[in-house]
Amino acid sequence: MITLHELTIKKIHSLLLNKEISTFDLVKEFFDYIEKKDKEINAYRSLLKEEALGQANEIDRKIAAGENIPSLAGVPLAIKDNILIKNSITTAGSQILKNYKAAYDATVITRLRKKGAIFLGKTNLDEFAMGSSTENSAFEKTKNPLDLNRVPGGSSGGSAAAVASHQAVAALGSDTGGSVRQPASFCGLVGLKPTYGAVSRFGLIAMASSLDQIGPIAKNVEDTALLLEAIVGKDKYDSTSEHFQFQAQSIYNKKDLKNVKIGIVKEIDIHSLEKDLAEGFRKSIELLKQLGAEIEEISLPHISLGLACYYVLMPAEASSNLARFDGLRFSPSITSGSLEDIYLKTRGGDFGQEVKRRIMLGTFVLSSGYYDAFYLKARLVQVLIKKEFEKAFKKVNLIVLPTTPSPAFKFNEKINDPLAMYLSDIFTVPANIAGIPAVSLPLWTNDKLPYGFQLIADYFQEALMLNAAYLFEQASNYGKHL
Amino acid sequence: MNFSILAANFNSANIRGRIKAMGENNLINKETINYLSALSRIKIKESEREKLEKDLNVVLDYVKQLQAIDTSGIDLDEELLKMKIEKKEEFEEEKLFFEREDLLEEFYHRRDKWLEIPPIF
Repeated sequence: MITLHELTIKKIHSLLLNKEISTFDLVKEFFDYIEKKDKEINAYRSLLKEEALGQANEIDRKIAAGENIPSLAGVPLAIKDNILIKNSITTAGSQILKNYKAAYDATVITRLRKKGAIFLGKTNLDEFAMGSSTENSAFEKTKNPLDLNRVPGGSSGGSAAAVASHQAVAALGSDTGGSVRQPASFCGLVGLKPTYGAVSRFGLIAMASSLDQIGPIAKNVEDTALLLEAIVGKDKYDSTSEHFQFQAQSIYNKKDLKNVKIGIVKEIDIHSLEKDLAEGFRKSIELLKQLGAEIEEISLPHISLGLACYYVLMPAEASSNLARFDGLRFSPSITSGSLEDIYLKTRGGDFGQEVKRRIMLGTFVLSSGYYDAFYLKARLVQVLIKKEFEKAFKKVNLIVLPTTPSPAFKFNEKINDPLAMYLSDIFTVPANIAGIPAVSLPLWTNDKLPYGFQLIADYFQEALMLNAAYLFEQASNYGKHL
Repeated sequence: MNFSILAANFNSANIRGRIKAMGENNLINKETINYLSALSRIKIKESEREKLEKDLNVVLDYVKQLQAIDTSGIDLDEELLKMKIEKKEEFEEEKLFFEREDLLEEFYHRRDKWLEIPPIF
């Protein structure tokens, strides 16, 4: 009998190599557990049992034949349902795609397959990744495993809930304004948004193409790094992807944080944060100091405008990206009527409230007469914020921020107030706006609900960022809470 | 719904003046919702209108704070020139990819490798 709670990628690798367990039994154990546990959590939209057990047998065959197995062989993962896995139903949490069967694998899936990873199923999300609580899914509500009355965060809420309830070892999510880091923070996990361009977006259902990045959600920094290593790099199907390599080993490069300068943002008044968060944040900075880091105050004068920028740029891009859902492609449900009727009825009937809101907002800010005042202005302020980060990274190696202003909130608390919901992204959005990497680490301040502690780095400095994250994790020993 | 008449109504208003007066006036009203619904090909039900109008105004009111920021030192063209564009390569690769049989199966009606749509005239 294995304890699913204690499994990490490295542990699985050694269990399999030492033949202490077969991949088939391991994967079967996960499905048995999911069948019971997910009735309560609703993390998964669909399971890929047959395919997963087939993959498991293949790995067992290789082990029996004495062949080498790759680093992620037999590792059971959960995949957000806006990432395509060939032949699986991929809904993106929307009615409009409820019958859509993916015709190809996303590049991240192809890369994980090569490394031997196993896909247990597709996880729930806010419709088209638009939301911060997973309540905008057109399907079931996903619950936070740490408190079933609360949301798991979003939009990758299903992925975070699956990992936090031990229904997967780790998961992939997508992060456009915080959708990996915020749910990771709400569920007490590690969530990483890589540098824009580090990971191919091919096969990710696009929301805002200039901001979207796929990233891992895991129980610790080691697993996060192993997943990142597998998915990064240039892809001929995504022209914005870069020739970037990342070695998971690099998280052990430095044994302390001597000569590492860490910036705290002058414009964010720690005393204005919730009391527990302020206290936890202050202690985390102390811990970084103890590890040898030099703490320095930096200025990002327009950081708080990141959110306003985001709520112009993201809807603008989403309104254009979602134009492809025309009721004619991707397994449509209406099969008669005029072309205009098909458009209006499909999109009016099958898009949810939040999606309609964002498409209309995006259409407005791009419309004649308003383009300059909204879209163009937001692009200019975006460049301003980028330049401020670039300047800050001339002085420091890393910047710290909380991940969210509050821990997981209750169901229905913010669903009818879009602006209140949007404000929960205030600390995560700046990294997307600037295109830089950020990782959220669990920040437990009491035994109730965790906050998140965010480390942000300069472009493609994932190695240094995760090295620091690993040292922080070892020193704070947060894993004990899960 | 006649898109061109709606568009004409929308543009004939004094848009510049309306942006200047944004502090006092809501940018989204019944007419704007009709226009946006037509532009984005989304049918909006009667029951959705009031809340949608209110929500859009709240968000626009929030993002409007960007107008006050001095961005005179920013040259967007300069920023755009820094970006590497390799679109040609990507499209050529995708062209080969997207004619695959299994992608065409998801069409509303297909004829050979084409998407067949209802007549538009």
